[in-house]
Amino acid sequence: MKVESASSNVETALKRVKADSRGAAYYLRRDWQLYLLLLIPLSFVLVFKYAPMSGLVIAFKDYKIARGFWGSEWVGFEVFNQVFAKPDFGRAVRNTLLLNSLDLVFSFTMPIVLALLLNEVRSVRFKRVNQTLLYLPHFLSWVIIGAIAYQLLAEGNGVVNNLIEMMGGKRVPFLQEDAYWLVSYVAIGVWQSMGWGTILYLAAMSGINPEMYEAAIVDGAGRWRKIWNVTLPSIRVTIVTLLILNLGKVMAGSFERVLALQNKATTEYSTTIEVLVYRWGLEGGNFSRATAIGLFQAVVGLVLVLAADRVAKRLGDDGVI
Amino acid sequence: MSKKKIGSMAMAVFVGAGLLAGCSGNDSNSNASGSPASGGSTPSASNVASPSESAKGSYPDYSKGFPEKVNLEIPVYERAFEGWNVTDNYYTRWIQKEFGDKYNVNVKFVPITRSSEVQDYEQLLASHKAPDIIFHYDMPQALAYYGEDVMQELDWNEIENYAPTYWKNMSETIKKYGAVDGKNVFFFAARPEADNFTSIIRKDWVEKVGMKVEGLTSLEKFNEMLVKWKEAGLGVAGESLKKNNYNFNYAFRDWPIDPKQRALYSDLGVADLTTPATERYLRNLNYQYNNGLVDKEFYLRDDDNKIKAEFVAGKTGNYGFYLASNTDVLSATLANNPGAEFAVLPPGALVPEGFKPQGRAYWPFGFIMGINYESSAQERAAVWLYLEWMSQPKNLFFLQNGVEGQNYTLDADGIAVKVPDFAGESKLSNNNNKDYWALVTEIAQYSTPELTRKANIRNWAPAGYEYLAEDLIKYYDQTAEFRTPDALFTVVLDKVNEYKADLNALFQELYVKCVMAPTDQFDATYEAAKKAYLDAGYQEILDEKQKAIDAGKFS
Repeated sequence: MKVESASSNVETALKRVKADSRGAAYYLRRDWQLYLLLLIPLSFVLVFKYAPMSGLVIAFKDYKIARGFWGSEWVGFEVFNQVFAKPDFGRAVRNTLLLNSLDLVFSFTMPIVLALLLNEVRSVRFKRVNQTLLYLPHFLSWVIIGAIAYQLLAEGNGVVNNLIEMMGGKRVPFLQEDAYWLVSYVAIGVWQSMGWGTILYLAAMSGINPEMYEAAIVDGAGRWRKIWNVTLPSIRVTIVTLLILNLGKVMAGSFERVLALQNKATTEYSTTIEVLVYRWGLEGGNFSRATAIGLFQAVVGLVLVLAADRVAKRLGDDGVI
Repeated sequence: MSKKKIGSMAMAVFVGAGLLAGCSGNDSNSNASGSPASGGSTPSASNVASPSESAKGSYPDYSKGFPEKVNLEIPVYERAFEGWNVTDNYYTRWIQKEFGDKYNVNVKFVPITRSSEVQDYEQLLASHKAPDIIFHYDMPQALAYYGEDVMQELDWNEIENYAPTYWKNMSETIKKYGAVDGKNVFFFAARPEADNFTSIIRKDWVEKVGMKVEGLTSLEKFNEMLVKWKEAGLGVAGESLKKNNYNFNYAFRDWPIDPKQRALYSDLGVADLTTPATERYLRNLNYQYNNGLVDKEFYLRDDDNKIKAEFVAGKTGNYGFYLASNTDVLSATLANNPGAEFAVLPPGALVPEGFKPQGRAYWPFGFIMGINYESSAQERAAVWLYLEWMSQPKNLFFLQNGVEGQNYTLDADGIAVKVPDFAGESKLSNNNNKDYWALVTEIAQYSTPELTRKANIRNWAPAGYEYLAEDLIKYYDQTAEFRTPDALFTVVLDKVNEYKADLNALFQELYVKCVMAPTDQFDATYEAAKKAYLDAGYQEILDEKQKAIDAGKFS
């Protein structure tokens, strides 16, 4: 008897979902507390993410501070034409793509490798200590990292170079020659971000069903096999999602990082779009131009994300949109 | 309607509302900022128009104070002096008490970072939070501010009405240099002729290699000494990254100067890379670099602390700075290198044979100032009253010297003798408070030139190093005839503003490349650099300046 009534309850519940004829007002009334809560993050996004976008109009205007956003003269795409004609523009786009692609190759993959390694550590205490140490650089500002980098790596009196020389080697211009600078830039970035980057992967790994490992062991899989056939496929969704999000950054990149690590002897790779935004906008006071190149950067970034999303879906993964 | 549809509709509504909110939010914002706290409708209309309307008319009498509280925002340089709060200290409170309370004015100080002042101003202006005075030491940048329409037109009669003492002191300068495109825009602080910038050299090093400081009469001799320093393992010449103030090639310029050439190329804000003078300068630096005579990592020394650190550590043998009685360079160097001795580098030491010890003369004014386009008529009047109040010798003397009996004692000549290492409540900013009184004058003065000179030596020389200040003044007088100011253009140079930021970055890149090029590749590197620089906009600047010069629009 009891069982019967329970099953009929489930049936009616299912029916209700299928034949959903109630309007939005019903749900609003029923869950109004939840919608009210939702307003908080929504208003945050509106105020801080959408509202400032109206400022983008100055990319199409000859913006003068005194005349304001709306009083300035419309000039159409003239500002963009100026930006594209600048000799530094091509170089900045190239460098932005170069630095961020290298970052994507190294800074994106290192956390995965590191997470896999950490996941294999048996001693909990050792794992915890290591994780904490690896997270730390993430909390340092780039200004501090830059200062430390020059203390350690400078050719003239850097500690590392002093050691190299003491051991009979030749001093290396880690930060003071274009090619070396590029390598140092990427390496320092990897060091700074890899620990923090492992968090999401470790979280994903902790959700893997242990039975899968047990089954793999029964099938005679060693550590490598388990990583390859169990762990990696299980975190694939996470990897793809993060990859798509990171692709959007290929046109962006961190201004502080370049600013803190650059010097005037190695300008070949350190002129990026962000540097131009700073130079034109804040140093030169040409806000229209800085906005125009920023908008260009954002549009390209958006296109990259959408394209990556499309590709991911075609390959059979879930996208982010 | 399915749930999904509702969701996407809601999303669309939110996005649309967001965009609208953005628009309206901004609209109201720009309106609000257009009318500053104390009256005035639209900025450019009412404020700019009012002076001409009321020209020679009667001005409201504020001598008993404003009827309603006026907020006066005064900019002050933030130089990051340790333990000093630029916006709230003994003197800001004193100003509020003595000036603010008397005129019913709320004096608020707005910090402007000294090393990135233009960025600070641009940000403040863009967010409508800039102070009532917009100042800068260099004319091209002041013109750039004017070109951005952020300064309002001034009524000289109004200044005279509210600030008769200030006007008496400065009217000649204001009338001569204060107009741009026929509009009265700028007002100034006085600049009595004097300069405490100097280069010192390690005398003990010079003598260790068998030479004498007085014997350093040319660049050739100086380089010869550097070779000996290197051989003796003492150290190298100090050098730093050129930025902001491009006055590096004066010693390599031909003499006498051609005023038109000077007008065309001499510019603190945009470096000249293409003249023979610069070529000579770079060639010498290239020689020094390739022979290990100069700080190899000069391009990393991009602020004074880093340059100073090299000298203090005994790695470099010369250092340029503003000599002041409270400087810590000498004591810090002595702590690291007991036995160090210092001397002022003779003016000829960095000048090649056959050339003159030229230098850049200051313009006959200190701060170049304009009134913020958003300031109301009352706030503008408050600025004039403030300048008038500060121009009173009693107030100025207090700001410059502090409290008698605490900060200083008066000697028989009436000169304030500062109590060394005074650390009481009325401690002065950097021992002189200059950033507060620089709105009216650049250098503290006494009644006669002799007294001023005497006071200067006291203010500039650390105890026991009076000879440094005396030599500084001696050399300053000796080279007076070779100092020339940059030309002042009376039109806005649009191309300068357009290309300045790009050219600054490019100049640093190119000149560092030239200096670091192997000797045999210097010529090729320099030629390529010249071409790149001209193509990047320098040629357009030169053309524009040439046009202004041909039209006689410079002085």
